Amino acid sequence: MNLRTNLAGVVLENPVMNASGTFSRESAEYTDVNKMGAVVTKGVSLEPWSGNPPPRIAETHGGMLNAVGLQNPGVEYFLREELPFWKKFHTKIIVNIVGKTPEEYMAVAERLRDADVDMLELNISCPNIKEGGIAIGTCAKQTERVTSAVKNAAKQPLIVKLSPNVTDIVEIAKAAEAGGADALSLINTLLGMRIDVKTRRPLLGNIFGGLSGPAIKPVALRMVYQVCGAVKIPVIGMGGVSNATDALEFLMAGASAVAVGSANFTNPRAIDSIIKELAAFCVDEVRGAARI
Amino acid sequence: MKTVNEGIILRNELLTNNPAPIYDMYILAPKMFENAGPVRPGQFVMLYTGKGEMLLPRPISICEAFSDETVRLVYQVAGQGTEYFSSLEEDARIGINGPLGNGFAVEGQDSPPAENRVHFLIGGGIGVPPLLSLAKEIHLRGEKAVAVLGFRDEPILIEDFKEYCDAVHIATDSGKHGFRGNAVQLLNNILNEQAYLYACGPRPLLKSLCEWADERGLPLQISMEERMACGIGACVGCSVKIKSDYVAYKRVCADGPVFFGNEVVF
Repeated sequence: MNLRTNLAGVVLENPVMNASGTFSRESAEYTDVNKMGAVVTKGVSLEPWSGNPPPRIAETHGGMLNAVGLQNPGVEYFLREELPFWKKFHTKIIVNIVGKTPEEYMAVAERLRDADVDMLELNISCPNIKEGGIAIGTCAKQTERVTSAVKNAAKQPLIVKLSPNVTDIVEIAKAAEAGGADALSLINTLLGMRIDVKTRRPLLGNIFGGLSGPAIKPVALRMVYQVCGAVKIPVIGMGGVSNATDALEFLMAGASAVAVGSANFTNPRAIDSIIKELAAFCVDEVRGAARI
Repeated sequence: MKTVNEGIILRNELLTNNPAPIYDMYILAPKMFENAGPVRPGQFVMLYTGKGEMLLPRPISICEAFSDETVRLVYQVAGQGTEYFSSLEEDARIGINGPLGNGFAVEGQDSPPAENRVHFLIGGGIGVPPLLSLAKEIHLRGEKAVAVLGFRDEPILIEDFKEYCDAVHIATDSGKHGFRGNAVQLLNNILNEQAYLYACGPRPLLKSLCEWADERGLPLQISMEERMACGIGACVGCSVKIKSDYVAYKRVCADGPVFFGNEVVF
């Protein structure tokens, strides 16, 4: 069954990829990367980032909070150690880029100009860092300005990843489109927290964290539906996708592709089974369709 | 490809209720061993609840592994997930993935066994179980293992340790059994020779042990614990601070859970 998908001129074998930060080199021991529509890297910054103090993870009913804070060894390490690993597979590579200032985002995009990667994903929506991230993605003007600056610095098509922690997601989506985004991805995590009643303290070292998992799917779906009706560029839908039915909901809402995030933790083979189920669904849809 | 395997619970019995319920669980999971090979002391498994409201698997250290088909897990009920595991009865099915992480490296394991080499295993509370498989490995090498185990007031697994150790020393906070105090205080009273140290237990215990070992120049490996999401290295959630001017955190699941005592920042 052909599940081929065109995403801003980049042809994916199928519309399923991972969400940034949920799939590492170790994950490739569980999921066949060759079968993925694309692999999205963890956020890459200009310099190494240490991230937030632990605990960084807290489970919630049907979801989870994380406050990792974009720990990563930086773009030079990425190019030297990580990219060659992903290049071994026959899939598209999307590099998620992060920064504390517009200049840092630009510098990463610039550094990746000559790298053999297919797309960049601009992360202006991480709720777990003090500067950059969500501070940009919650302001339409800044979103347009940074998108436009990074678009100029980048050689590859640019996806802009949006935060749901805004009053009007459509306004931000339009700003990213106006800034020259080739595609949008949404949603990033919803800002939340948990308190340990025994210790009477916040459960996360960072106090707040990003909520993900099935618990946020209805919010994500609503936002994808709204954005798809308001922009002309393709949208990657994500937020609680755990099975093919979830993926179909996002595709029916107008998304061109879907990303699987927390489900990779619940089941390290989640992406494999979603792709298989999607193909089976397509076959079931047409089988016998001409018989009256 | 690696995968989450289905295990069958052979036994799941309450060991003690003090200071919290601790269970002794045996899971038959031959497919897991087939896929991943033998278990090393200090490794762990992820157990999957299969419940939609509890998305994340729980990391549990391996107490013992038998005949490449069964793992023994001794775990404390600490929250929703372990509460659920404790409710499972014989023959129940459970998702299990492992063995995960890097275990303890027995000092001198690449050279021939030396009869005079002494290994001290220091455990505190629910940190005691993973040391049992280490004791077994040292015993099978024909070297000397000494256990120094601390508890609130009810010791567990003592008979098991006696099977593999040349000596088992017990400390309790309450003084109800053995030495009154913690495992590091007890260790300070009994260790006066060159020895290799391995430890697992509460953070404050590991911290004081690291300082103690550092002052004496004794090599120490410690097994750390942190809240995890995936257990396989993907989420970078279970971080432990290390002495580095590059990236200041390592992952407990994939880089650990065993670290050198002198690389961790408490």
